Amino acid sequence: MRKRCNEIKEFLSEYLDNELDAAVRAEFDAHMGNCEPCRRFLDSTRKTVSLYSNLEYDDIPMELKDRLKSFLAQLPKPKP
Amino acid sequence: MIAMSAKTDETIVQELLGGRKDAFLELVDRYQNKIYRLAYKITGNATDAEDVLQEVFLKIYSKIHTFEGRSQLSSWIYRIAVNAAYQKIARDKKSRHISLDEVLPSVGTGDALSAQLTADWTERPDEVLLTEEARREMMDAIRELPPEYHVVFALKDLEGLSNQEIADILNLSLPAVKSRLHRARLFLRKRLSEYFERVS
Repeated sequence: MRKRCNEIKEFLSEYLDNELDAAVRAEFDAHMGNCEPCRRFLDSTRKTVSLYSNLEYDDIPMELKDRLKSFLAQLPKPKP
Repeated sequence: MIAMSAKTDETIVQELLGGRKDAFLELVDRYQNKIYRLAYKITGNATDAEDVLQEVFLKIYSKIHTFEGRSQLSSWIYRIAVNAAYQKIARDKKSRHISLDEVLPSVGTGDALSAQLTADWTERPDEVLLTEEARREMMDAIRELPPEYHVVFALKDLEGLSNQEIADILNLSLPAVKSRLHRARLFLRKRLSEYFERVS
């Protein structure tokens, strides 16, 4: 039974991405319905992905924009 | 201003190829935010993102004549940026394999299995979990990933690309992308679970 739990977890990422075919998904769902530790493992993986996916990233800082522009302005003019 | 923002990428490329340097600065204005955020996601820190940004624009400037127009300019630039950021982390971090044994609960030890899963932090709302310290922990955890896993995870779960797009950009097979993504997610799940259980 324990081995079965880790076997089923091999499909976990594809399950979260909706990439399993119907038969494997049904088997996965059935296992999760009967195995509390696996269900918690699934929930914690889903939550991990969700937390990372929802992280917000700042735009480029203004001082970096200015620094970049100054640096690039010094490049030689392109030859046509 | 209106005329500048309405200019197409193709027009900017033609002007740049015609020797107009101000066209390049327009291109920089158009893409700097997108490249910076992408580089930050892949490298995980501002200093490296700045290095990548500079490197990418230098490369665009020196290689624009090799852009053949078979793909969108944005795709060409995106690919250059991903590869520059990936090379940056690959230079700085050791490559290694993440085994499933490392990221899954131990088989056959019921106590270990249940002990790892008892504290259910997943029911707490995001706004409670996402303290400044937790955000730093999350970024630290990503930086612990070996580069080949780090880049796949960043492109999929931070940037939102499909597995096929990632495979195309990194020249990997689809199974290789899926395998790296799976292991990266389990690695991060383990790190975050340990952290959130510790601080609860």
